[in-house]
Parts: sequence; C-alpha cells; structure tokens
Amino acid sequence: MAVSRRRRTQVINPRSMADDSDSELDTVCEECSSGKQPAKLLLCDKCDKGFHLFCLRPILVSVPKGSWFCPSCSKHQNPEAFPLVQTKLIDFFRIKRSSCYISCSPPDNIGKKRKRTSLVMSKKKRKLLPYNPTVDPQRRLEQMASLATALRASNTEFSNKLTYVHSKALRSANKAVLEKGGMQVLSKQDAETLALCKNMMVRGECPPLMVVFDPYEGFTVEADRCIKDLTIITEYVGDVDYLSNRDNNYDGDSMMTLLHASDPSQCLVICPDKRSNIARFISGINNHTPEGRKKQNLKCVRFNINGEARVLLVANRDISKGERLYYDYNGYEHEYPTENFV
Amino acid sequence: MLELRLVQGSLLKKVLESVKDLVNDANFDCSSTGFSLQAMDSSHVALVSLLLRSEGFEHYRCDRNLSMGMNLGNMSKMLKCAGNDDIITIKADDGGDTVTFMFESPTQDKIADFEMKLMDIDSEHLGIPDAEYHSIVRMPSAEFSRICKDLSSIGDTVVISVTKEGVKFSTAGDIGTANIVLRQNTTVDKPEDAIVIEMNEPVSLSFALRYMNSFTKATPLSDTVTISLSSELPVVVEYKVAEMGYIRYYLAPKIEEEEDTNA
Repeated sequence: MAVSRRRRTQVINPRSMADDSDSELDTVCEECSSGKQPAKLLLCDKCDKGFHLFCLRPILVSVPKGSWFCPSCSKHQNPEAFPLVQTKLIDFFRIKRSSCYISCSPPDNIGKKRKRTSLVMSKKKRKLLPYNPTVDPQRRLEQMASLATALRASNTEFSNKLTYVHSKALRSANKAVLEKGGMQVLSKQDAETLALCKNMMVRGECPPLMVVFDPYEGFTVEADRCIKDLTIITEYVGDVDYLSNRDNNYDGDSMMTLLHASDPSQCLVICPDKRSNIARFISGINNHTPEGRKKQNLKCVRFNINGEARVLLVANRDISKGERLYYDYNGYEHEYPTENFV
Repeated sequence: MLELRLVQGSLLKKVLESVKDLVNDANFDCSSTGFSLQAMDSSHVALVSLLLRSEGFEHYRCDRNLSMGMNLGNMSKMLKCAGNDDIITIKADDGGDTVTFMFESPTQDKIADFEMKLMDIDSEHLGIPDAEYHSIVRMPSAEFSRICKDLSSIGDTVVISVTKEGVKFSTAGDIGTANIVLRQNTTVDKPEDAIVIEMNEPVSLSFALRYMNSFTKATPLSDTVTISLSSELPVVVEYKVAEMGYIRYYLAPKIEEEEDTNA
C-alpha cells in the first residue's frame, strides 16, 4: 500500500476551486472559517485541519513544539471527570445598577462584613497571612482530588517545593542577590507564616481552592471559601531551569520567571510541566482589555528567602467563595501573550 | 420606621425554611410594593427571588425604602420560636442596626419579641428580564419534590425534556438510569392535582439535582409548583405564597462543552 507524505502547510479545498482569489493554498480555521492570522493557525498532525490558537477551547497560548492533534482526533484524551459544564447565572443575567434602597447600616464594628480595601494603602506594616484551610476534612479531600485530576490530565507529578534537576539548574544557581535591581527580602514574621502554610500542607490542610475545568480557560482555580486580603495562597513551584535552556525548548505555556539577573545566562525560570502544585492552574488576566485588570485578585510576588529566590501567590484583595483566581502573568516583562484570554 | 404585621405568621416561617439552606446572608428589601429578597447562593448557580406584597400584610408601614442585611440561619432560629398560628410583626427603625420580630399568640395571652443585629451586606441584584418561556409545566409540588428526591438516589444531574408527549425527568448514575414521564392531566377532582403542560417549543435541559432538592424545601408553601423552561435560559421554579406573592428559584443549566463535529 503506497503511503503518501503528509503536507503540513497546504490543504486543497475543492469547494474553493471556482474562486481564484481565495487560492487553494489557503487553509482556513475550522471554527471561524477565516484564513486570517495564518501564523496563529495550527494544523492538526492527523487530519490536517486548521485551527486558530484562539478559536480552540481551551485557548492555546502558543504553537506547541511537538505534534498536536485537533479536538476530534484527540477525543480519547479528554479528561473524563468533566462531561457537562455547570454554567453560572451571571452567564445569563446582567447585574442591575444599584436600586434606591438605603442600607440600615450598623455602627462601625458590630457585625460588619469586611468591605474591599481601597487603592491607597496605608503605610502601616502589612504582614502576610496564612491561608485558612476548609474545616470539613471531606471537603478538603474533594479539593485535593480536583487537583489530582488536573495534575493527572496534564501528566504532572505533585510537588510543593521548587525542584532542582541535574539536566536543568542546580540549587546553587538560585541566588537572590543576582536579581537585577535587588529582590525584596521576606521578613522573619512572614517567613514564619510561609513555614506555617507549608506545614499545614504536609498535614493535609490544603489551601481552600478547587480546580475546575472551564471550556474557555481549561483548568482553572476557584476559591472554596472566603480568602482575606494578603493571604499567602501558595508558592509557584516546579523544576528550576535556565531561561537560556528553555528558549529553544519552548513548549510550556506556564513558565514563571524566578530570577531576572543582569547576565542573561543566569536568568532562571520555573517550569511546572513535570512537577508542580496548584499554582500552575491559576489563570492570568487579559492585559489588553480594561475588564481584564478588574479580574485580578492575586499578586505574584518574588521574595528573597534565606538567600534563594522564591515565588509566592498572595491575595491582593478579599476574595469570596466561588470566585475564580486570576493574577497578572505579565507582572514584569510583558512577554506573555494574553490578548486572547477571557 | 418599618412595621409589618402578618396574621398568617406560618407563611414567614415556611419562607425562611425554604431559603436558609440555599443562601446564608441576604438583604431583605422593603418598599411600598412589598417585602422582597433577591440573593444568589455562594456558587452563583442558583438564585432565589422572594416577594411578599404589601397587600398581604394586615398592617404595612414602610416610611422609606430599606435594605436589611440578615443572616438567614439566625433569622430562622428566631422564627422557629414562633407558633404556627402566631401573628408575626417585623419592626425596624430607620438608621437603626437591629430588627425586631414580635410573635403574638392568636388568643393574645402570650407575646414574645426577638431582636436581631443587622449586617452590612454588599449584594448585587441581577436584572431578570420578563421572558416568554418555551415550556411551562404546572404540577403538584409534592409530586415534584418526590421526583427530585427519587432521581437524586440514582444520579446527580436531571435532564428535563418537554415534548408534545409530556414532560420527562431523566437521570443516569453508577447503578443505572431512571426516567419519569408525566403527561398532561386536567381531569382531576382537585385543581391543585392537575398537571398542565404549556409547550410553545420543545426544550431539553440538564440541571444539578442538589439545587433542585434545596428548591423543594418550599413545598409546604404551595400545593402547586410552576416550572418554566427555555433553552439558553435558567429554569424558573416558582411556588406561590398564598395570595401574597411568590418565591422563585432560578437555576443555571449544565451545558455540553463545545465539541468539534466531524466534517
């Protein structure tokens, strides 16, 4: 049986034979039927159909390095845990402008629910808070199960700390002093808070977060109980590697800057593709729309802890139960393409 | 100054029982139209909308529009102390930080008053447009409650389909599947036992049973329940409150992820 070589760049579309201007060489996206932005038009390695990165669900950030199969060809790989997706009321109903009701408000300290903090921060000492795990152990198991499902679907092992592998970067390479412009040192009190969070995790008291699957965003994380402003949610962990190693190997869409040194060969990144924790599933805001910024409820901060650079995700406002978590992927370098984010 | 006197106090007791499991804290809004509440549950999937019209109260005084934030669990604890035949009066001062519930026994020989602290709750109201629903089903509330309970022992999602044959409730789970079909039946002795199906267009939607089971807590309020369905809209489950108003539950459906169809 003759085997014909697959062509990766051209699709002959018999329907467009009559139309000369729309030449047979143009591939169009199966979702939106447009051939625009060909640089972002991905071809399936099995059926040769074309898909825009931003027309796929979940949205892909960049062209994957290895082979890629379209949703139809890779159907068997879909995670089985999420067949139907629960929509929210906000998908159907809009929030009304506030009506004319006057609140019967109590005096300042009695029974008052905490309001959002204003933009102007007061200069008093702001210490980080440890997270409050969910009280019900059954619910904590469900939270951990949701993380396990997501990790399994992404072929990732669980690890709650930075890992240093021989082929990548060694621990000795992670020196916070190398940071261009210096890195803020985590205060003793905050370092104790972080240690408390790590201990809680070891005891099975995981952060009150649930990993859910969204048709647009893919795996994403929601708060499973109220989280106060300045709470340490988690540390961003994974394999530490040199940025220069990863430049050629760019397959991950979740790399996080660990060390931004003056010398480019000393820059380090965290790669959560092999080993990671819940942090890799937290979504980023769309930096290109005004609404994107409003979604942000976490801040990604790097600290010098015992001479090493570490990345923490900290709440930057009070978060209510059920809210999705978002932070700014482009906190420093604006290199992450987020224009197609939700 | 707010003063509302309700002779059939049991209605308010039942209303609280229907709402407190879905929503923990909510604002009760009082205006000249009536006493209302609109709140979403913590997951923002279900919404409850309550209205008790001012005409249903024996005495209704509401000087200015007022929003009172209350913890529904606490309010329910207080209302449980009222007898089923008691007359309930709700009182609050403008600018005050408490609300008072007064329960009078029908024979006037026992009077109880309970005062509760109010809360400051930031709540957003959703605008719910008046829509023409594709299908409306009216059935005995006890029947609906039984169906939801039975199906939740088999699966966690119910598919409600309305066709010209009737309304079908189906579910599937580890042990197997279940289907319950109800056909239109208006030839019954009592009007409240009738099953009335008004189908403008056939519709089929999936919903999480655990929310349906919280909605059926309102069954004591009314003999019938009205379920309004439209594809692409949340379902509305409505229980009328004896000539006074209604309690409506909205539930967002579960939808399929978009899948590519092979050309």
